[in-house]
Amino acid sequence: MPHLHFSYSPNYFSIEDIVLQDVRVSCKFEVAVPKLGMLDQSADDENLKQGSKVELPFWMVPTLHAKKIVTLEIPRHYKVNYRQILQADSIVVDLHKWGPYFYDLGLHVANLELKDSLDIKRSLVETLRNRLRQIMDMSQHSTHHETVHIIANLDELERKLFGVGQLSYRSYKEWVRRESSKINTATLVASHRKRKFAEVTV
Amino acid sequence: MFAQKGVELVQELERARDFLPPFNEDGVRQVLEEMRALFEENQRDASSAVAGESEYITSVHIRHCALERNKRCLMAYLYNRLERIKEHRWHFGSVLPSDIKANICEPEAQFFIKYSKSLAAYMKSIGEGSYSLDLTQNLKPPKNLYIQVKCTTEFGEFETEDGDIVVLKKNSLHLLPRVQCELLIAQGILEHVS
Repeated sequence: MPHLHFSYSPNYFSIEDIVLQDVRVSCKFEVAVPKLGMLDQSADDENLKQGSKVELPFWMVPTLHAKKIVTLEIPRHYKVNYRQILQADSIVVDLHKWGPYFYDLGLHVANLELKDSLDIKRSLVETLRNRLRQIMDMSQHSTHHETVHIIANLDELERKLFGVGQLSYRSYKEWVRRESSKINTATLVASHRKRKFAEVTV
Repeated sequence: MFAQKGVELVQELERARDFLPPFNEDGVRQVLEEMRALFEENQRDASSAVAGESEYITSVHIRHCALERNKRCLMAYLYNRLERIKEHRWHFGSVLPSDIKANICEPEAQFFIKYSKSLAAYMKSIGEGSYSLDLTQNLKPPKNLYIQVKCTTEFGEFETEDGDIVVLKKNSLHLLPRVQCELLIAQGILEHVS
């Protein structure tokens, strides 16, 4: 069955990747850019001056960084002091607050070949490895009520993993109850009916 | 900021995870308009750069970035809609309910018809002789030949392949051959009870 899977390695058509790259990052322009002064909302100039600090959406950064038009200031959650916090104890950190797409954005930033790239990548891997055990554990053993609290601290990638874990647990339970051979209404059909029903009753 | 409308289009799809929102013709037109404007400005700056004034090259790069971004948003919007339409064929069968049809634009409707035809041709080719294998049935390994089903809505009369006519009233229980009911269960008219 054709299925659009969530892919966490950025795929050109990935809706998530497009949306997450809209986040603003702080950049400094190394050259003057005529006519595009509107990118800098604090200044009122038609042209962008050399040396101006601007908040740009991240999707502009890879090309401009490669062409040395801007230098990126690493977003603060990927800097040394935050990496040290993660090293101290990554499990209690609220990664959802640090950026709902902490790992995805971190990977994009690290791929820009900055001085800190290797350290950032190592830190991302270590963090995920430390937190993964608890995510797996929770996804297999928690009830519906606790789930909301648990996933509040997880970033989007971890939430997807958590969801996959829960689905696998539910399928297992279904199999134990011998309900796995039960034919179900197609998912899209069920949600379509629910929506139609909701529209009619409202 | 550039490409805001493009991202809005994509976000439309992100918000509506399990259904297909109406085709946003207006949004697509606005993105194409922005791309046209960016391209024209770039052409102007590029030709002046060729003429000798090289300071505009950085602006060209930035606008080109925005053009690529807009292109990516549009492509992702169209591609993801098509993927959902493909899913619809597997969940709803070859005939879509009218309110879903209303959300599909004309080229997408053509895609659906052609996809259904492709699927049918493929299913016919893997059978032997005139027997075609219906891939949309038996998605889970079958355990028994006859199954107990309950009817959820007033459907009326249903004729099985052997010629038996079954009257499907609301909440009526029937014992029917599995192959006859799979389609109706998938569409939500019957419910499989164990």
